[in-house]
Amino acid sequence: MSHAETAALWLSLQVALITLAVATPLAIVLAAWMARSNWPGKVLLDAVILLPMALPPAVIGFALISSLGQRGALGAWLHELTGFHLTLFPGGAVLAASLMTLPLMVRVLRPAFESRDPLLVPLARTLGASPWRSFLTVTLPLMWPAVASAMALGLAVAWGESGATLVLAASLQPAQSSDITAPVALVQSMLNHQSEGTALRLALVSLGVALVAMVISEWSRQRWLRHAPLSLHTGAA
Amino acid sequence: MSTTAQLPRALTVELKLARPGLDIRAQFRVAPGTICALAGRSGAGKSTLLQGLAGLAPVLGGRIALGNAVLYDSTKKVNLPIHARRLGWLDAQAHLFPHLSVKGNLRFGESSRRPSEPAAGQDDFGSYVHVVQWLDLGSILNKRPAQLQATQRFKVALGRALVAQPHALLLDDPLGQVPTADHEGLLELLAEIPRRLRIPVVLVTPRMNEVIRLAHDIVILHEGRMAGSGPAPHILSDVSLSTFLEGQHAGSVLEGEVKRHDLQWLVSEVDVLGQRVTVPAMLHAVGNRVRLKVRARDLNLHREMPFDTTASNLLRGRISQVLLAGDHGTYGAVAVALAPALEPTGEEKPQEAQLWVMLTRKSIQDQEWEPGQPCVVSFKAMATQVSAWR
Repeated sequence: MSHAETAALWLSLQVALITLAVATPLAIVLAAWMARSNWPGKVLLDAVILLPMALPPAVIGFALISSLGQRGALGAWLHELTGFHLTLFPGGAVLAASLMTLPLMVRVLRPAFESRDPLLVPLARTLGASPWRSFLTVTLPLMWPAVASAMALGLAVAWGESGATLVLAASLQPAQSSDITAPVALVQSMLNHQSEGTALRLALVSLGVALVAMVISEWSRQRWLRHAPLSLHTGAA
Repeated sequence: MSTTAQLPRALTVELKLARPGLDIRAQFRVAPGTICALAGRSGAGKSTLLQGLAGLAPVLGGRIALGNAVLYDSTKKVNLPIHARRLGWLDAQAHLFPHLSVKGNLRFGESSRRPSEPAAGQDDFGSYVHVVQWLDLGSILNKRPAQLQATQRFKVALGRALVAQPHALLLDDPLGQVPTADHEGLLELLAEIPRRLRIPVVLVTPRMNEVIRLAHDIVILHEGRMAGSGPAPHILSDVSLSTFLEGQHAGSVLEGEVKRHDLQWLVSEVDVLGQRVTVPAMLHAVGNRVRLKVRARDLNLHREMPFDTTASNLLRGRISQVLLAGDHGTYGAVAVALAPALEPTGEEKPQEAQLWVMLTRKSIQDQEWEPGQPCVVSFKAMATQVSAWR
């Protein structure tokens, strides 16, 4: 494996991990809130939160460039304020990956929050547990398999994010040629008619990552289902 | 924590709550070591009231106190969070923690007990070890809630509530999911709790037999308001309140003591204020207290002791009230105060018992029944329902 290939894989891993660190807490908060609150017009907000999942990834990349890029209104304002300017790595890639990952994680987490017994936590509190203790001893242990499932899925998606990142890469020239993630490197190697070895190796590693992530995700989901209310199994809810 | 916290404390409740379409107000007091039943038709607001008491539902105002300790007071802006109220909760769904074993569930509330705080009962009745033994849970300690049957789920939920050493216990249809065949044994366990822990217990149940079996006092809710409250036999024998409770099963509840079992005929005799009531044979030992339920429509009224009747029960009394449902209704109710066989001795509080007899308006008027007249009430042994009482 060439130096450029390992660099691309390493960068993909970094992007995926940072994305996960950003998206997981956000997804938990959003899923918990979306499962609980109910007000007119909530459907619209739900749709907006889930929108990036339905959009072509290239559109996300374009939206990022046109808003946060140097000619974008928000980007210009931020630049004036803090000297910020959008780079491909880590900012651009992580932002793109987060936008793709977050809705998916919310979608996976929401049923877990929606189906949990709403009286379990109040009941823990009648047994003398403080709100913090009931979160640690009831909510968290009940939710972690669902969270783990969402995180594994999120990791795979963030690793593989290429559509939006490609658009970003096209607009923001990478500072170094090694500043590209594995899927982008794969596309570039194809475009440059390099030997197919690079593409194959990157593809195989990506396949491995995806496979492991999916197995972890499904295994966690099974664990969660085992503890989920009976109504989910019988469909009586 | 002061020593007064460990003394048996009464629960006083005065609450205002609202549920869509219903505005609920209630005021009652539950003495330590007694069970107070909130009764009434479904939709009367019983469960909502209980949830408000526990802190599980928002309340609009009022006051909740355990002895001198105020848990909630809207005028003084006191509102203890759920975990500081220490009111045990048990409902039909049990709500066991699915990620914990039976043992983990039982011990969940243990750490919230203060080490300086001994159990409220004489012995350490609420300790984990005792609860496991008392509820016979030793063989399922390592099982998960999903593997349990309804009866076991109930027991684990009850045990979990007791191990947390609640200062009062709130029961919302606790046997709702339990097969009827298991009810009797579990009612026995529930009846033991106030006696052993000396805490107040509030019970909501749609089944009148549970009220008769468990309740010392009853609060009747009707469309969010209190239609009546008082000692159970008194409330359960008040026909004017029965429409809120049982409809055609309305009747009276008498308390008595088992005197004799007739093994040849398989009937038992119960002493009620010195008069004998014969009932179908039962398993309660001689000397035990029991409650007898008779339906008002199963009773007959006579002027003199009838001599030719299949009714094995003939009780002497005096008419205390005649109620007619308007001047044109079909039926009316006649209240009969049972005559104590012995005149009460000076110091003792005279005991009272009342039976309601449902008759047609025609018979009430034909026979000219009036308050004050002596009479005899007759009913078959088969018309009585017996439940254990203390």
